[in-house]
Amino acid sequence: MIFGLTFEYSKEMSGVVHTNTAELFLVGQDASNMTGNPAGVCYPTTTEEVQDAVRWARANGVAFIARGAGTGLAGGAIPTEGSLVISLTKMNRIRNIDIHRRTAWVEPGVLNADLSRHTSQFGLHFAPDPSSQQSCTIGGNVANNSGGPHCLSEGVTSAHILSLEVVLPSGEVCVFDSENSLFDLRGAFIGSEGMFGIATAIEVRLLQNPPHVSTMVVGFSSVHAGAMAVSSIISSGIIPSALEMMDAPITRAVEEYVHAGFPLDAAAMLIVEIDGLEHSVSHGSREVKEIVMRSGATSFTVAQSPVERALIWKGRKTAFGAIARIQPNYYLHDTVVPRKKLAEVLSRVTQIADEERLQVMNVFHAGDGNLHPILMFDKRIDGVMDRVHRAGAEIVRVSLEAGGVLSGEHGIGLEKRDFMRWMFSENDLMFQQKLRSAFDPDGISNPHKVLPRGSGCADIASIPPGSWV
Amino acid sequence: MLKQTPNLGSSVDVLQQQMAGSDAVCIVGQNSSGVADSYADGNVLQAPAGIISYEPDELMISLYAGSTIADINVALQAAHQRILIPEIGTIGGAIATRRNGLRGIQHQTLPNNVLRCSVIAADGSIFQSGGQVVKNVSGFDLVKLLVGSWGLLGLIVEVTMRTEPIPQASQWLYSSEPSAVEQVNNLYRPAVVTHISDVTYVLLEGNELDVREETSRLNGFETCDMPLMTFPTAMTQMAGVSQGLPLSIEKEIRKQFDPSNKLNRHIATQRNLLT
Repeated sequence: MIFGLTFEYSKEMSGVVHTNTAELFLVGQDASNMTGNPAGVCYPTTTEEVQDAVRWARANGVAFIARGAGTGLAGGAIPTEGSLVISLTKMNRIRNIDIHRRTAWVEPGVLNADLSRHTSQFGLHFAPDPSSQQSCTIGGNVANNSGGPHCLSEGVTSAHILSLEVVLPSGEVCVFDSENSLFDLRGAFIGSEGMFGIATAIEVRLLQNPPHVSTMVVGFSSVHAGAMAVSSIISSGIIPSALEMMDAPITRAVEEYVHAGFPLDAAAMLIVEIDGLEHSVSHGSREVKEIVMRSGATSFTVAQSPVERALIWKGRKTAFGAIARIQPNYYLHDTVVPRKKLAEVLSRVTQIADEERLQVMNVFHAGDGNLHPILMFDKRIDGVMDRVHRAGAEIVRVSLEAGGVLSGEHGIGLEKRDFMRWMFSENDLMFQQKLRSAFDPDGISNPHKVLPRGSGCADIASIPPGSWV
Repeated sequence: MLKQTPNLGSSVDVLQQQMAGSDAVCIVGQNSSGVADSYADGNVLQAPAGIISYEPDELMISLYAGSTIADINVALQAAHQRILIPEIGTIGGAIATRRNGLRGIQHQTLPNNVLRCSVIAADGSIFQSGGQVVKNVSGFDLVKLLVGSWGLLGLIVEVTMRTEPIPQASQWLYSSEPSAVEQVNNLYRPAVVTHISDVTYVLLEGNELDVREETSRLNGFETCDMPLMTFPTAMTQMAGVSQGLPLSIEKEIRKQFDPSNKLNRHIATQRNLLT
């Protein structure tokens, strides 16, 4: 309840806003360890209905939060106390596909993998491919500027979005594209974590499916050797379409679960994929083989069929599911470091986990320097969450000291909001707040995320009581 | 009326003082976009030049924004790398005017290749956005906002750019056959396709054998040098026409970043962005 009003008393939203406990519990969560306590949730099916919801929230002084599939890991979709959740899962139509221009207009609730599945009949795909792509939405990808293994060569979501139809926090609707403004409002909106308004239609760029693909799995006797091989591949001038690393614990967990043929005797393995025209793929693959063998590879295999390739990627992208075989809970981190610092930072991550008596596994986008240490634990053990959070903070600190950044693809949300001062000056944050204020002067759209308190933030409502920040 | 400040290309802290002490400022690189025209007024402020760090193995270069593209290319070519920006003016100017080159004509590569910017704001303070890594979603993306901002949000003084290896082979071809458009559309991701006066030009890049095979797939095409292309270097070629709600948001951004209408106000006037 905000300002003495409840949704039940609001005649115009009666029947539109759901307030039953089970639904509110569901939309109060995302894939992070935090929970929120919204007052209602609605499921618009059109841009106009989104506008109605935003206008109603605005008129009644209620914060609102757009929600996709809730797969975010940084608490960006955790609703503030008493807010209205605008779930976009029913806006899930692909409005049109322009095969000649290789573009499509889609609604925000379209699932990432569904878009590429649908466009495969035209030999096209949407490049960003987060591990959650079977369930995450394009709207969520826009909010987080999501990545994925194949963003190494193709770039993250921002590189694949041409235009956005947006319902602003004022309730008005407009289009951001390259024609109707001098400033790149489209670019500024992407990655704004739902704090600049709600994208209700998205024009995406589609890429031709590559005619040739080579997917290699390479084993190493140490994480250090694998990390050094990553640097050697990139510095040789080869930009693979994907360059992923998995350490021994996660490789074993995944192999037991998926049976992808991963090297169980290796301390670390790389998945290296090269795609494109025939000769660049064959030449690049040969070069990669030479480089990794020089770097001390202990095994080298190449997928011999699309089925084998799909199994390798299934192993990589379902790695988090495999963790449940080891510990009931996990905390997935996301930082980026310069590639040359990978080996050093990975070694520090292991030390940090040891010091906090936590198990750690690593499965990450090595080619981008994008680390994903996974801390595993049983949250029923007294005091374990304190150790998990201390270790997480230390991993962030070590990554920043190595010249890295807070997040490569999960975003800041609530999780890293109070770490922003570790990376940015007060003035940096003030200018980020200025941008936010230009889109949302009243701080009504997904308030209290990204920017730490005291950075000029004037957002309404309070932070979720369950959050640990 | 433009006033040449005595310390053109001076250090960042001197520029900060000049910014803070000026009522009106004209931000300019080598003026290849004609920003310093007869309508411009205020103190001319220009970013310093020079490479801060270049790490070929990381495919990344950090520069003072007054560095010329020509000088940057000399440094990059030594490591067989490049940035996809036409060899005109400075890197700061290219970013401020969103001067996409070659592949960027189609794919807007420039915004995606600027990894970090350090900016002197209208009040003389410094703010930064982005990082010295190739992937980053830490906070709101001021870098995207700065690319194409025509000096209306601050003076870009330092930048970090992504670089890329120079491909093994590169070949321009052209054709005025009616089937040319469809033919190039069927190629696998050519580096550039552009149409100039009913002539279709295509740039093929990559492995030498692939370029040769793709070339042989094209009927009625002749090889050629890079066609004379006009990159948007003049103020008249600024992006789009701001109107409606996007214009309101742009004005609000301007009000937040430059409340006293100090920066490049002749451009702000032209774009109806005075607040």
